[in-house]
Amino acid sequence: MAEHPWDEVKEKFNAALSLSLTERELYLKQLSTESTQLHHEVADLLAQHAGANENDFLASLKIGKQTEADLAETIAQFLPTVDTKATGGDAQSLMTLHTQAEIPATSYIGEIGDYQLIEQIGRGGMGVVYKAYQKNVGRTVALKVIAGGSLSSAEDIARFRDEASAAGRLNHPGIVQVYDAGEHEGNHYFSMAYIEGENLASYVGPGKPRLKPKEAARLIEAVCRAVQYAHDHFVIHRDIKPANIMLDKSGQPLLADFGLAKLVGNEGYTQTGQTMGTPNYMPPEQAKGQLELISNRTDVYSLGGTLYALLKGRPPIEAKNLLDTLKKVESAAPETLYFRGSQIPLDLWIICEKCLAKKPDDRYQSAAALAEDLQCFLKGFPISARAVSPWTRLMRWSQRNPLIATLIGTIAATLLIATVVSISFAVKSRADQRLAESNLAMIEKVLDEVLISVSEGDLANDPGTQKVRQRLLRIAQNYFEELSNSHQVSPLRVADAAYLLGRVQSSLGRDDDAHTSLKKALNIQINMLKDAEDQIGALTQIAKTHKEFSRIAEKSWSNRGVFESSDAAKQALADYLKHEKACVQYRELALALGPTNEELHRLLANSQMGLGLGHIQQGIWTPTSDGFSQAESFLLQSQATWDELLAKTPNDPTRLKDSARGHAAKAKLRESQAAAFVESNPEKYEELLTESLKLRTIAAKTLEELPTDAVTPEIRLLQANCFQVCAESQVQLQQIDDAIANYEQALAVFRSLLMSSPLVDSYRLGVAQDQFMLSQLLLSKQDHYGYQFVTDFQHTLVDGLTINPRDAVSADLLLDYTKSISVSLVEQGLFQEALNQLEQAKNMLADIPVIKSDKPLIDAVIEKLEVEATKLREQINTEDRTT
Amino acid sequence: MTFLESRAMSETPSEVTMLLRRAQAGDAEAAPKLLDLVYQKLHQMAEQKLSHEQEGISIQATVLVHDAYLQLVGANQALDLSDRKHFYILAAKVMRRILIDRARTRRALKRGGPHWKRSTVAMDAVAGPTNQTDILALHEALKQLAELDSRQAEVVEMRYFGGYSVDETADLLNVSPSTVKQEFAAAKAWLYRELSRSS
Repeated sequence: MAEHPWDEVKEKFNAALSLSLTERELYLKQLSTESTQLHHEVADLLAQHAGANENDFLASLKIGKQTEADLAETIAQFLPTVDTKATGGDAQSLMTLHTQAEIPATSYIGEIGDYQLIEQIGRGGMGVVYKAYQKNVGRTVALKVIAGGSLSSAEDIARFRDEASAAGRLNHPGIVQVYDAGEHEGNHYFSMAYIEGENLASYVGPGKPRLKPKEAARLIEAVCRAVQYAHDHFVIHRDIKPANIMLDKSGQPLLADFGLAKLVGNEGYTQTGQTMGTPNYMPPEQAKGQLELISNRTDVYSLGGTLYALLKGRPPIEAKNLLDTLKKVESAAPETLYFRGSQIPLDLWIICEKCLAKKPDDRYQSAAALAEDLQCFLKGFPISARAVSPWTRLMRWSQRNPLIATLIGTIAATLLIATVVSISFAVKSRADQRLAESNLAMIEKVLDEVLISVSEGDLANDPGTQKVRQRLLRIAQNYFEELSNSHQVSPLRVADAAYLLGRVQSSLGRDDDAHTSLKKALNIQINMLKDAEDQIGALTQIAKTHKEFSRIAEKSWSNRGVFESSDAAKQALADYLKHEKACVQYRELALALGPTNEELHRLLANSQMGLGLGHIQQGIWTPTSDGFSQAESFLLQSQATWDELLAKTPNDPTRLKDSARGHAAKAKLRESQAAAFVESNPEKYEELLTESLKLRTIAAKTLEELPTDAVTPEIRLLQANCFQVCAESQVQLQQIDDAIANYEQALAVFRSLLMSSPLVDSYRLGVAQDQFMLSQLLLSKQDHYGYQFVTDFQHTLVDGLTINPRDAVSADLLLDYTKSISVSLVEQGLFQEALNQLEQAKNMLADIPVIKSDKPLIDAVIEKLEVEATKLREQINTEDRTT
Repeated sequence: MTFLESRAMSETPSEVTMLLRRAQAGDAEAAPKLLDLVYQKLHQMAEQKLSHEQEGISIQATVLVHDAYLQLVGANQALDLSDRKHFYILAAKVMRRILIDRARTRRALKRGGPHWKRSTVAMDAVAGPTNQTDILALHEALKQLAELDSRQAEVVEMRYFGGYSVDETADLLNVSPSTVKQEFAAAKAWLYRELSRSS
């Protein structure tokens, strides 16, 4: 294997090091799609770096007076001591004991070489295990010696030696460290860390305690990581079972006994085909002795078997004797895993089933993939092993967001009570009125805290919450109607509630209802204005209501695509501008009364920017209008305010965000102005585009300065958007490499968003779009990583369809993107490659596990892809004939 | 009067100053002499310093080096910038050698079996590092690293053996502080892996 040039490794390592932990993970993931080798090198170095820091390696050198103890320690350093590293910094909890005193001769049962045997602690298939004391290092170890103290055959020696050498190369906190191997007067032995603790077999079998499902999943997940590490080092364990998983004192699992480990690709003495291992946890290919089929998925099976055993209390396959067990492994399915009323979550059973598939190909592809799914289960994310129902999705969502979920639950309950109270509501006393007031206050709280804050967070489009919110809204709405008609509460209260109701209605896409509510609010607010004690507050509230109107209008014009100017969209834009203008006016009035109030300045600048953005749209649709110059002047005003505010408190997250948005808005203006010059004046076009690029880069940089805790999903989205638009401009300016870099950045952000909210469509589409663009750009450069991105965007969109088989947007995009990739490949003369991409998408779609009634959309896409593929095949045939 | 101030009084150019200038001017004899002088001085200083201290006390390499500079060169010697740099780079290399020599002695003692006596280790006043790094293994690994990436090896030499700060190291090697930081991080990870492997 050729090593990657050090400079490149170093560069990537430093780049990764400069990132936050989550970003680093993304970066590495990205890297692994580019080059496995490079990824390994960099990931290893990062791990080493962490280890180095943990152990204060090369921390400032101190020169000390040598004491006797120091000297002993230094001597010990020349001997293989690995235990401090293997413990991951927690030396005390790991069972390797550094005993200072020697053991008196009477208390040990024998001696092998440097080792004093203290007691026999186990007897395995091939060996006896002793607890022993290693004299020259001064540590207690587990010493494994070939059974009977002598060797049965040359083959046994070879296997034994192999075990030691394979395991000795593994150095992972989840693997029992092997120290040393040797021979003493004909006794072959090796030593490993002595673990004081139990193994997982203590939780399997009749009468033994069960682990909680989550605990079992957590342990197996950790074991998976260790197994993956071993696989990465070309070592397959081949005998994973509960008894081989030790638990240290802190409850961390350690995988022991690489007794059957075999170097991948190094056949030899195992060729005899004898079956080894524990058959209860053994996959068919191993039971049948089909050595050529043994792979990392052999371990995946046994990991699943171990998880099964921990959940069920007995191994997946059991029979009276060895031979029967082996037969059963081949044919019988494990006992039905799931039944109604089971304490064990269905997802865990599904994960087990996938591991225990008879055919290796049907199992998880790697221990890491299994670990990922277990992790998903533990965090309440959907597992990959199955598509999920909306109800389960909601349940999972509430697992992830326990706080908000509880809140929704409680408030739904209180609302129901409130409704009951309101039905018998007839004003008989002041007490009733107070009750009514407090009920209304509660509804406002519901609307504000639950419905709006939830809808503005990353759950904005989470289909899992949509239904619940709709229902809550209905309850709130009915109650509101009843109360506001009863004239028992103060009009301002009603206005506040109406305003909030309008926002929620709008967030749920019920714009007409929202209009009605907001109008009601606005009428009351304007009527009450002249009598209001708090003039600034009243004016600000009116401005807010106008802002909400303009938000609704904005949805109607901004969603239609900037170049499509239907009459309805133009009307919406006019509405938008009207309300934004009103908003500016009211805020100016408020500011005149409180000129020192910085928040008022901010709000005014905010609506000035809103006006600016609207005018940009006007300029696009009506080039003869003065849209652009109006926009310019409004954006200038708002930017001036923001610069001033930011200068006062340079690190204020809100102000940084405002400033970034201001720059982004200005960039948008330049982009829009540029569009008019594409053909007529290419130089002007490039000049404007370059300026917008600069502005956007500033915006992106400003957002990066935000402290981590101030970075909301909304800001991440803004960031991703900045990167994406920058990349688009760069494509226009033919700065392809920069564009690629920006698309990669955008992709990283979208991916992390999607990971935390896998059900939000807009995140998924962002990921897919970036992957598509990257594949296009790379393929145009004849860079073969482009193919990887084709596979990636196809996976992303197919995932979307797996979650929701009726997701028309994903289906359309999958078809469009794949077709356009295929077209560009054909243009490059790569007919077969073009065909492959079509076939690949088809196959992925065909593999989506959905019930038939959900299939029409997917089937339609498959059919269309097939049409394209057929056309292409014919074309290839004609080409062949002509040449 | 502090330790540093008491040493900074000489007016005439010190021997080290002369040697430095000669070495810089290309005098082939000057370099080894300089090395010897700095080696002896640092070694002797470490012993003196530690003999006045209590057991278990340790001093920072960088303090030793700065003090050696003051003693050998003198604070008010107007040394060229390049001469000063030369000295500090040299001092780091010397520290490395001193530590390796100490470690070798100790390894020899260890080979001598259980019969070594405390008295024979009086020289151990200038001991090895008090943290867990195996100096000899580090030295070997560093040689390998130098083949792969000589600048990184130099950065380690300056930062670790010389005990110089990031900024000082950057100054000595004529690179930016961020380069030093990055190189040191990568080198540290690389060395840590090499040392884990060998142990």
